[in-house]
Amino acid sequence: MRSNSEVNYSGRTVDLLLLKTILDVPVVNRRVGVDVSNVDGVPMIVTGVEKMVQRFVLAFINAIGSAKFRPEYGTEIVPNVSKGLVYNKSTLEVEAAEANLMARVQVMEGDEGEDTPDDERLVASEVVDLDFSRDKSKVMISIRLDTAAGKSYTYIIPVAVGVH
Amino acid sequence: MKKISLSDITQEDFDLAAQTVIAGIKAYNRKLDTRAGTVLRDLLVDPEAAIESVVSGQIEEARKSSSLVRMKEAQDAGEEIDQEDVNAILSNFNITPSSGTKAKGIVKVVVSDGTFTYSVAEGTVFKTVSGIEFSVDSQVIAANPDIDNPSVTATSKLYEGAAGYFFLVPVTAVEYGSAGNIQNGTSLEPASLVSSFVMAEAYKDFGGGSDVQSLDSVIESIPSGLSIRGFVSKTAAEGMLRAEFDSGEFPIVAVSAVGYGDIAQRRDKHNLLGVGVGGRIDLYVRNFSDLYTITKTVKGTLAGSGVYVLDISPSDFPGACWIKSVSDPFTKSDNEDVLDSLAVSEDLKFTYRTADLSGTWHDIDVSENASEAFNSIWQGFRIRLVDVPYSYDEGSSGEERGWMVERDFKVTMYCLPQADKIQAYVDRDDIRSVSTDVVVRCPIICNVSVNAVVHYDPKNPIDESVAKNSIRTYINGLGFVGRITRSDIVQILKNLGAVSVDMPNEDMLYGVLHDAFGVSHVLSGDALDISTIEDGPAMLSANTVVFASEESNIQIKMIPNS
Repeated sequence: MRSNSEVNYSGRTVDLLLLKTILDVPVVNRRVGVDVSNVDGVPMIVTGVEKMVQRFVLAFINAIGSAKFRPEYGTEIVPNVSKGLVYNKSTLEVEAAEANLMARVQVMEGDEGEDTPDDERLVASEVVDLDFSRDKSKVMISIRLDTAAGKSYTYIIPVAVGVH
Repeated sequence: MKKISLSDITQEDFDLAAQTVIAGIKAYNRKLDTRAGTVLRDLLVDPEAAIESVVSGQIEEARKSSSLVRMKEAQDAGEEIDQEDVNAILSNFNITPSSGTKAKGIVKVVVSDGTFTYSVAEGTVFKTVSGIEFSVDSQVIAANPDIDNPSVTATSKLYEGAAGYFFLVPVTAVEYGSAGNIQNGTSLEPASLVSSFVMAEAYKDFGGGSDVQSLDSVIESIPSGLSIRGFVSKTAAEGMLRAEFDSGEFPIVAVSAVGYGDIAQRRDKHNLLGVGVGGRIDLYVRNFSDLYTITKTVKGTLAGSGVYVLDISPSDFPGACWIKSVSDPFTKSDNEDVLDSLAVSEDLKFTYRTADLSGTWHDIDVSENASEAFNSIWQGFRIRLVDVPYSYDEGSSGEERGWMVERDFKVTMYCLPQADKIQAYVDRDDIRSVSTDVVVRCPIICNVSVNAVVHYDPKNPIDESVAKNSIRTYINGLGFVGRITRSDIVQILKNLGAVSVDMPNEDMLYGVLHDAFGVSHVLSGDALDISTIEDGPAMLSANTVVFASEESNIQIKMIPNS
């Protein structure tokens, strides 16, 4: 289990680890990405703040309407980027802000009625930086996530699609 | 059976399946986070729930398809049911449902040129405006009989009519069903060009078309399918006839077995005391919806001034019920306007039943009269026609006007379809009861007329032909019910959208029938109730009579509400 040694994770609910996040590196390097380091090994599970980050990112990058029985799950940022509707930093700012809001609402709705520990409970999120030009096949979106435990974490979410 | 796919699954089905999957996962490990948005939920629970809901839907479909009652409920709810599923269930009971019958009729083709020879190939299609197709039964070559053309062998005459010339083409509906029972005068278009073609239309009402057996009827037929096979009860007799004839051209609509204790059973009283002793069954079979007729040319013998006698043998019209019409095939011109104008059947009161029992072992006593043979394949008729028009205006020896000693008449009779075949079936060595003498009869037909005034909302108009057809279909689909009422008819019209229905007291419902003695009975009023005219010796009871109606007997006046 990937965990922060300062927190007691006993009794926590767990999810499968899909999106690897790195806590113990400088903020600039905290990327969210598919964990390929353990492809041939046993599946890993995740809990704590990383589980919350994983939930947020899945909601953020999922194309809204793509899940037949959850048509409102996800955001429009990936489809809009791939359709060429995001063509400069200004349009990306608008799209990212909207996607951030939608993903946040969905994560917070998921916590309703649940006994979610404070460090897993999202209370705020904000787009803090956008990189439109670093790599022509990606846009990099930095989002700060605040938990009810009072800690803020900033993650870079790459949206890896063809960008015109 | 319908194949269920994800597109058939509702949100409710999916959510239910998801809850089932989550419950299973939680039972395995309660610490797994299956909230929406988790990897477990998105990549494991939801796909599994989707598969599970499709499988559950398919199982539900399989359950539904294995129950006739549930299929009926689904059909009533507007769902389409698969006839193959119905057939599969019925095959368990050795029942084959009727696949319906095709309507038959004659197309009148009007052409402008009376000198041509016209040929319409077998299989040529004529189509109504609404798309009902009819196929020509066999090639028709029509030629003007006044024009000698040795190179042509005509199969039909070219008649001179009011709108040019015309010839007649027998056709059969391409599809099964009562929709093919179109009315006289319905416009038709040939699929291929007919030279100098003017128009084509239905010549007389088409008939004989019946729909695939309804689920209601199928469910009703199961007891007969499961019953003991033998002529021991109405249900069993019906089951035997259905098994043999339902898949054919004339499926069974209803069967009535008149046996011991029934007032209309006379044959089991052939003893000194004249009391019923059983062992005789008269099987009244309705295997037609619209009335079935046979038309033949019959020779008449002059029996006085304007009086002819026609002796009709049983083999001419097997299972005949009564005479529909007698007309003169020798029209002085072949003009369509006079084709039927010489009908001489206005007064058939001199008609009586005859019998020819040669070759049968069945116990039928015709020593006093032929009534015991009535409506069976051993019944004949003697028709005495009066006031027959002169055969010629001037005789060969110069005398003015007169009647030929012998001449032909066109006779049309209401008959039981396949009467010969049904009687032969019940007489088969491996079928017939060793203790019961079974005689097959055409039911007594109570020919019903309906007169109604329908008030409708102009915003919701009612098609008059649909209304007439609905009433006719209802009446002609009845079995031996013994009674029809005004409210039955009103309900049909209200179901079609009528705001109100007026039926005049005198002739709202009017029925005519002929009993075993040939006596005519008339019923009228707000109910036609056979029990009011029951007569055992005349073999007249609710168990021997069916109601039937023809299109021309249904008069409806449509009035829009102001």
